[in-house]
Amino acid sequence: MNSVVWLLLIAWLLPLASFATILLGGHRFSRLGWVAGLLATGSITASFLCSLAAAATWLWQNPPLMHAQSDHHEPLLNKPHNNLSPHPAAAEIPSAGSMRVLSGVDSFGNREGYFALKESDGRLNIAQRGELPYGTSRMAGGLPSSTLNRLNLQSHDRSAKSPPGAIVGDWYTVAEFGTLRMTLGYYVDSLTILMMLMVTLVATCIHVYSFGYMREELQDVVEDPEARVDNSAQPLQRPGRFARFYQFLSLFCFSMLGLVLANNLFMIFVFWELVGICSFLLIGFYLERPSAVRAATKAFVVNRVGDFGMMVGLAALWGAGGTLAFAESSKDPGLFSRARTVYEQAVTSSAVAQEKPAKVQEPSAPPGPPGLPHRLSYTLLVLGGLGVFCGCVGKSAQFPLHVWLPDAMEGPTPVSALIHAATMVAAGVYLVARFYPVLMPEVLLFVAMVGLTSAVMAATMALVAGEIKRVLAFSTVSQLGFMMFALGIGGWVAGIFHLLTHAFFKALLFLGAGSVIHATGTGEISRLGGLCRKMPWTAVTMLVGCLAIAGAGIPLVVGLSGFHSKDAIFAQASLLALKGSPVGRLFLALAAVAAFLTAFYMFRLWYLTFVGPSRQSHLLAHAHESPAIMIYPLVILSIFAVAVGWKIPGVGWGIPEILEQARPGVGLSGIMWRWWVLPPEAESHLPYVHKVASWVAFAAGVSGFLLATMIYGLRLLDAARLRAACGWICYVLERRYFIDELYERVFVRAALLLAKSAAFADKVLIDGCAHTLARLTHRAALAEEAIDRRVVDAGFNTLGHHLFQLGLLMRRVQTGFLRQYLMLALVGTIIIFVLAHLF
Amino acid sequence: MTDPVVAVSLESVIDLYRDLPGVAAELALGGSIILFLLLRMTFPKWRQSAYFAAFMGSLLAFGLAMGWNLPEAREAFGGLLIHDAFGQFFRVLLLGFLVLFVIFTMLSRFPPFIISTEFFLFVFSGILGMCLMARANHLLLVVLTMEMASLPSYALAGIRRLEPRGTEAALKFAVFGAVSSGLMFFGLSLLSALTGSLHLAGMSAQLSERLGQLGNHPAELSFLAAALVLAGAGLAFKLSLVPFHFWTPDVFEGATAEVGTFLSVASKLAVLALFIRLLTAWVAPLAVGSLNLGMESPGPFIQSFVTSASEIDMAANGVLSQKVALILGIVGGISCTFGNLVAFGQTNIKRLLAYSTIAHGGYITMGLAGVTAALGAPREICQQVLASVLFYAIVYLLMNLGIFAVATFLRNKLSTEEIDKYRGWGRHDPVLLITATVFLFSLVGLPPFAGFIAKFALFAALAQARLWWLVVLGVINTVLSLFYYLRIVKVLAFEKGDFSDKVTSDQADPSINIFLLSLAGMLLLLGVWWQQPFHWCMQAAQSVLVY
Repeated sequence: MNSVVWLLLIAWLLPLASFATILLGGHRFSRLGWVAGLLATGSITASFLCSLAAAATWLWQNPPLMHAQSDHHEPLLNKPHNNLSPHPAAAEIPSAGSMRVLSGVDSFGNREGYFALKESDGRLNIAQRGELPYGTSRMAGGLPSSTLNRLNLQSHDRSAKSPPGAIVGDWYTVAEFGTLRMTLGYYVDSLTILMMLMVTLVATCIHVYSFGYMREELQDVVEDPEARVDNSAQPLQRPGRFARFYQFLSLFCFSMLGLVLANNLFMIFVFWELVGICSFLLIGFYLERPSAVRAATKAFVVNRVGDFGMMVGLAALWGAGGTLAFAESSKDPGLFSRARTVYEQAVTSSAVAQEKPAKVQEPSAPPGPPGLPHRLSYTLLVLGGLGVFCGCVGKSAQFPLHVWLPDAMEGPTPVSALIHAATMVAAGVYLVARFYPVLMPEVLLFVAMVGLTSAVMAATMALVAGEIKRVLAFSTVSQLGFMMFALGIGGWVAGIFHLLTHAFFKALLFLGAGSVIHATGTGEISRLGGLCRKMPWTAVTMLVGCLAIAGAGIPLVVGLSGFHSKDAIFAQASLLALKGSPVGRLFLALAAVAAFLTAFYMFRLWYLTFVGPSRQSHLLAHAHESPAIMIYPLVILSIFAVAVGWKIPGVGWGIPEILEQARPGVGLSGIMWRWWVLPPEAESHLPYVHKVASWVAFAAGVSGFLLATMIYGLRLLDAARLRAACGWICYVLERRYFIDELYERVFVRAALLLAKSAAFADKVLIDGCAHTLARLTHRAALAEEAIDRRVVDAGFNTLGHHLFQLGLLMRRVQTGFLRQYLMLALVGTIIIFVLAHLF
Repeated sequence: MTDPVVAVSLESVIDLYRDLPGVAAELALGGSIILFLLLRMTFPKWRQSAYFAAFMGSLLAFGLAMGWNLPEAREAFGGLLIHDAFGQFFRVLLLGFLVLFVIFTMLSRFPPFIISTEFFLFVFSGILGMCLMARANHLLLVVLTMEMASLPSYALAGIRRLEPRGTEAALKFAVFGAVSSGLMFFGLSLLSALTGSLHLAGMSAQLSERLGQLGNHPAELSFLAAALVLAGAGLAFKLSLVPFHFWTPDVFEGATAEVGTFLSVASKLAVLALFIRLLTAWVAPLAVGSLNLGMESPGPFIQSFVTSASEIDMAANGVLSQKVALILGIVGGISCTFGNLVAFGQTNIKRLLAYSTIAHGGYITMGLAGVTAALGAPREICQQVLASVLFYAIVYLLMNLGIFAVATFLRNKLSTEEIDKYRGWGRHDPVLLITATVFLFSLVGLPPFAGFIAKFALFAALAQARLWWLVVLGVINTVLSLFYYLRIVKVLAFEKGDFSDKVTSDQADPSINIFLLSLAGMLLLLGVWWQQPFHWCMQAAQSVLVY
């Protein structure tokens, strides 16, 4: 194993060790909670350092391409399949498959010609560059360009250095069923590295912060004001659970890191569920509060709905491909390359079907790994992709399964920060990104639509939310929608980039919100106000977070982290729009609306909390700045929230360039829907696209900010009157589009009704049958007993008696007389001799 | 065929040195015997001297036997002995038993100081004879070792000179033994006259050569039958099979339980080894034509030494070995049933165990019938059947030693051998109760103890040899044996008795508990982990099936 893999393994297992230690320590930690906290914090910090070392090693071994070089010259989707590229560290990957794809690729497009073409008609027709993949170039002569349009699968620029592949391998084989191997393994590329780094860093900050926030839990007896003893007015008293909190945090981190490292769907699913159970445990941390229990259950059940789809997807992929592994190895065919092959096959066959009269050479069957079934059809691939995405929708709280996330704030605030930034919801986006090669363009369109719907819808709901954490929760749904949208329209790097930057400022915002709640004891915006002077550090860091999430920056030059990542998303959307697709324009417009709303509700939140008059003066009077242990993480996170989008000075590259290494090759056009063509992301860096994108994003952000300032900051417009003017809209938004009610009415009540009828049936029918059966059995047993006693026992007793008598009779032979013994022995010998003759 | 003993030359002297490491353990036993003779003169005051010497001597012998690197199977000492895995298997078993037995006597404190050297002298010389018996390859040595094993046994039976029952038992044993030996030697001489050889391999070869003519001469056939029956009589006496069992209950009751242990385990194992050797030497040649069994053609191991296979009347020969199997099956079945039935009415625990020994001799003989029936079958089947018998021997060693030890310790504590006097003792000595239950369950053949696996393997082997009637008989007997074995458990555990005088006076000895628990633990271990021991049995079986 490579040293990177070793480091990541250690980073992964450290939180597990901490979890296990606290678990085994058991009640000993109930008095020494701070030891458990130190243990967990130490392990996650060490884990972060390991990830950092791994990242440094990785970047030392594979420095990213300079943006300046690769900006326009970087080939479009030059990586047909990331794990197929030869890589010195990936010795265990057979490189035979990679040769197949990389060799024989024809490239004669040069930069000038390319731009001339582009500028002449404003559209890009990549196929006319003549870059055709192996297998299709041979038949290019027989096919008109309309066919070639859809054949632009892969291209390769020889001048570019081939990017590093993934390091893939297995640590442990859990089980083997025929060709299906269930393993614990690793799939390490730059995406993995960056995710590990982000998760451990954010988790470290949250661990440290929790020392301050969860201090109450260190006491022997904690009074929970929100939980009541038997509905009485008396608050509940319970022992402090500091150790348990850190125990769950450690398990949560371990699960998420395992998910990030996974090299197959089985492992993903295992850790996926582990993440789910951890979120259940942590959201329901205050298990005496009914609302917390309800929220935890809701999160868990809603996630099950998504997981159901995921299991269908897994079954489809397994049944069709016979494997769950991502990457090709000596033992597994690898889903990525299988999906690639199927896609190529589908493109070719549809092309051939269209051009029937033309004499074409029958494309040779794609050489799948030998000895394995090759039944993966395009439809199944789409079904599998949709199923897996279904799981992602649940986990990442996308429409229509977004309902659990706003309720999840019932957990302690650091947990919310962890869930919203680093672990739970990031898992869904991460899986879409990781699974990208298998997601076909139709699925990606679906992803984009779901993402955009969530982005806009959640943003509108955030406008009227009355609680800090709830606003932030809606904002998370909205931002995750942005990421999904970016991934769905082909902006792979943009989506992941936004995931990474979002993690920092969302963690920052949540921890800031926690600081406010810690100081005032409430998160209701309507009761807060004017905290700016009492809590300067919190106010400033929160402002940084708001600016970052709103995407503040100077267009085309520099900005906070959110500016860069949002810019990348808008660039991709603009590219789509500029290519003339009406869908693309709609997408861009909606994305701009969502960005506008984001800026508006974030600043509404900040203004209402930190400036203006205090609406409840006693809260303000008692408010105080949080302790230093809570402020330091805020400061660290705000530094990252500002700077994480920047290029590293001196080397000239940043996160997008690192991510570029891991970019999967994707199909560009749909097979089922021909009109759906994904633009290649590299083109979004072109100045004319970038310019449009930057200005749209900037305009949206600034207008949102200005509106919020006018209403809440300078109070030029009266919020209450505004609210009254559009009362029904506010009502709809406050009731969250009635989606929760709908679910309550349709699903929950139906389920309860079903349960009640089942209980009734159970009591009346099944219990009745069972009781009758029991009565009958009892009677039969009584009858049987009589028979047993009178017939069987008597028989056996008689038999036993006779046998005993026989034994006593035979005993008489043993007289004690030696003469008789000898005589009998001799007679016996003679009898045997006679017997021997008789037979 | 020349008699190998006669040929003495320089080569044979060199061979002698080559063969010596194979008998190192026996030499150690011999050394111990001499030591016992000198011990009383050297250390007249040291009361534990005999125990110490016996323990060290047995350990040394066991270690030497275990440490001997078994070469390819070959004859040694001019053909008198044979060094093979089979002999080694029994040798290790016997010497292992000796170690356990010496520990057991230390715990039971039986041979008092005054007779301790004599006791161990007899025990060691008996074991010496038995070890040689397991590897005898020549009729001379067969006769010699039979007597070497028997004579010390007679003396051991009467070692308590002042006890009238012991003396009577010794006398009966000796006379009965002498008659049986006489019968056996008569049979052996008939056989050697028939074959003109004393060397087992030579006799085997002669038998197979003359088989073709045997069918034509009925007189010669009955000559052979008489020889086999008479030779078998001596073995049956040692295995205490019906009708040569009469000595067993009387001797077991009269002698002490320690001697009973020795007779019940060690001499049975050694005679079993000899029995199997003689069976493979004398009966295997008769089995060449056992095609009427419905099995596949005879294995190559029989073809290899049958020079004139084509001339032999296949059907007739097949009948011959089947006849032997039938008679062995009848004798084994009767012994088993008889032993189990008569055990019902016994009140003395040693007499009960004597009948149990008879019954187990019967089970083993049934297994030997299976081996005989399978001799004509392919080698793998025969090997498996024989390995089952050998595995039964291992388990028999452990469980019989265990139950005799229980009986001995009960005698030490309660000074009685009447089962009725043991009522409720289990409450005062739970370890003894638990271990006794384990041994008895194992003797019955209940899972998860080794007795179950052993019995299962034995019956499976009988089924493999197509002796279905013996399987049925064996199962019925297992059910019968349940009654009297579990009666002991019932008396110990469920009935009530008054031991107010015994409990206070006698403190439980932890080493006794450890000994019993480790035996029970071994039975439990063998009951779940039997593959490797069975593999050893298969190896041993493979080496003996060369005729």
